[in-house]
Amino acid sequence: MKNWLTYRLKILLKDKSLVFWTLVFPILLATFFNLALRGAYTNATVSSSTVGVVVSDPTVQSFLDMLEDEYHLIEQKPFSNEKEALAALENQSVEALITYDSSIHLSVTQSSSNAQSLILRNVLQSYNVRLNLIQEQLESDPTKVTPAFIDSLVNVKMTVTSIADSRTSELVVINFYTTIAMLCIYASFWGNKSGRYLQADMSSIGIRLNVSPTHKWKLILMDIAAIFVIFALELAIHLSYMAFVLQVPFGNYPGLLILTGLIGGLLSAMMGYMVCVMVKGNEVKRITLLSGVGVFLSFLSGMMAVQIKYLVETYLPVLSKINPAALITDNFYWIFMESHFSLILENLLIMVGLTIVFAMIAYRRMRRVTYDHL
Amino acid sequence: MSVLEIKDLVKRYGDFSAVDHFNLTIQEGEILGLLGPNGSGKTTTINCLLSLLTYEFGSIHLFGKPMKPDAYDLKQHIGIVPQNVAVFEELNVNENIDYFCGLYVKDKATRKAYVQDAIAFVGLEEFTTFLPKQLSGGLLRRLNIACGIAHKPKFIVFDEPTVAVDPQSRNRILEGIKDLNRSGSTILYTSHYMEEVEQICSRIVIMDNGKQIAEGTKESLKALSQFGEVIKVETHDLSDEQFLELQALPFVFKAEWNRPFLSVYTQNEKQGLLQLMQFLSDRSIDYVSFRNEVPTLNDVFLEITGKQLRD
Ligand SMILES: Nc1ncnc2c1ncn2[C@@H]1O[C@H](COP(=O)(O)OP(=O)(O)OP(=O)(O)O)[C@@H](O)[C@H]1O
Ligand SMILES: [Mg+2]
Repeated sequence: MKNWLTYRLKILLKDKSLVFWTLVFPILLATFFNLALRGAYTNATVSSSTVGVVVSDPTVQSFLDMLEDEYHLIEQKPFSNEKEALAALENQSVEALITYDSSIHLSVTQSSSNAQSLILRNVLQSYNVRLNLIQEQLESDPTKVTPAFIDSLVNVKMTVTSIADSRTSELVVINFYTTIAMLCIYASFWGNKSGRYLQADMSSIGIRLNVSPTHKWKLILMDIAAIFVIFALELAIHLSYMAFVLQVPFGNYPGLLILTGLIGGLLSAMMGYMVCVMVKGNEVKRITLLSGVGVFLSFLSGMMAVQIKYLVETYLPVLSKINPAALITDNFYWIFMESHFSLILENLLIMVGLTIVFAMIAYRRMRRVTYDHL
Repeated sequence: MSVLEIKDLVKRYGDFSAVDHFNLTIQEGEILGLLGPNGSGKTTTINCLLSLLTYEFGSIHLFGKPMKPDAYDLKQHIGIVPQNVAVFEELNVNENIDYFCGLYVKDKATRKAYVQDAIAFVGLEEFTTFLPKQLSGGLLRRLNIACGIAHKPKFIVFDEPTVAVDPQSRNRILEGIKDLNRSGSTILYTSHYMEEVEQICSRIVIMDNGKQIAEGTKESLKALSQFGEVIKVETHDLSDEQFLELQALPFVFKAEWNRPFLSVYTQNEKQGLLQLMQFLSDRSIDYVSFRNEVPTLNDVFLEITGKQLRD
């Protein structure tokens, strides 16, 4: 077993062009971001967005006033009813809309779905969470809702401060996270390379493996193990380079970041493996397909233009829940924002699930196979 | 016991039958030569018997049991040397053999010994750390063989293992196959070189257009030939009248005359040589050279199919 893993690693790692695309390229990209975006840490200016507001609750209103007056995050434009406000959002006289029933809602237009509104969304979200906690406590044991308790929870001021102060530099950090997502997505090439050897109609080595008495699932597991080791290594190198050479801050949840990276890479590798098993024809065709799919999924996940992400989330929400690129980037974003922990977990579980599904599809296709032609 | 039994095998690619109601039985201990020109269906037959290819009709039994993709107990005892070299470019000679042997032999110590045996068998001792791309064509073929036989299988399929191998290495490989056979392996050997097949095979099946067209020992196959032998004479003295006279003689099956070369195919009898010498000396015809040849499998093949075995 150990021998096999070593051989597999050797076989994969000697492919220099694969090592370039899956390791060197994301590092180069991160380096490029570093050169291009260093300036942004210092020179960025903060602009506020015009936001329509339909809020009657005085507590919420004072919170919004604080966002406007102290942090210049928003410029409020009050509306008496939601219909009018929505119309304003439609004709783009406001960039976003904040409404309140039992919690605060943020609606944005597609054109203004920028990082600014993401920050705002995050701020409002954390406000809602705290509000909910107080309400729950009131319902179960009102005596415990002391001013001190409320103070401890409604620490919104703190949150807002930290975000407003560092948001320009953190927005830069997001670009670096994109390179990690890219590293994960390129792992599909490893899967593709491995899968080829198991198929008699794709490589003559496949003939030997297929006539051998070793079960397919063992061979597949061995492949996955080798890919995982290589990918973990690549991820470690990439993260170390960013942390120690580029000095990119990783926030408070590096463990979660690494876990997402590892699972994301495995998922993507399994996708490549499955594509290799399902798509016959020559290698160039599959590499082109995989690159294309990678770019397309990244595009849908909003890696190139964030508006696309919201379009997908609005009109085809299922897609963003099964798109590996979206799952990976969303998680990185939430980890960076330090929010949505339950969604992060949900995404991780979906990713594991998809990995298993892809592996099963590949296995079913290869198990006890006889070919129509070789 | 029959090691391999193929009955009425049909494999079609669309309307084209690559293997057409083909039968083949190999008994334990045999070296069976499957001889056929390019495209006759040898590799296709092998791929079917290994359960790599689906086929339309027929049955295949190995060691008395039906061969299926999940017949792992049967697969354990099969060795395959595919027509196209199948080794990892990234692994060296030793690692390649060890990798493929490891698919069959789990015990590390045993495997180590087996790998050594295989390396010695193909004579690659001095190249164990070479990568495939550093090996010459012939050495690469030898590695291909080593990867297929290292686990000491009971039944070994060689699909044209000597293509692009020089005569010396080829001889070594052929002798090696005989050794494998002596140590207990049953062998299916395909080729389109009849000399090879004549040299090592105990029985020969000739295949063309997916069909079996002849079967037997090399002697019995040669007996299929319509003529006994061919006598080739170089002479400047033979006249055209004398050639016509010669053609009419009873022992002559067929004669060709391209001055100064005379070829006489004798009827199936032993006296041809003497009778021809008698004929020449009676007429005081001098000759530069005189030799006789027995028919080759190629001649047999030519007669049966009307085409050459080799391109
Ligand atoms: N995938 C395929 N699709 C269509 N025809 C095929 C396919 N594979 C093989 N053939 C045809 O089947 C026939 C038999 O091929 P096969 O490779 O078995 O011949 P062979 O006897 O091994 O020849 P060679 O001595 O050249 O190796 C050939 O005519 C070939 O063109
Ligand atoms: Mg062939």
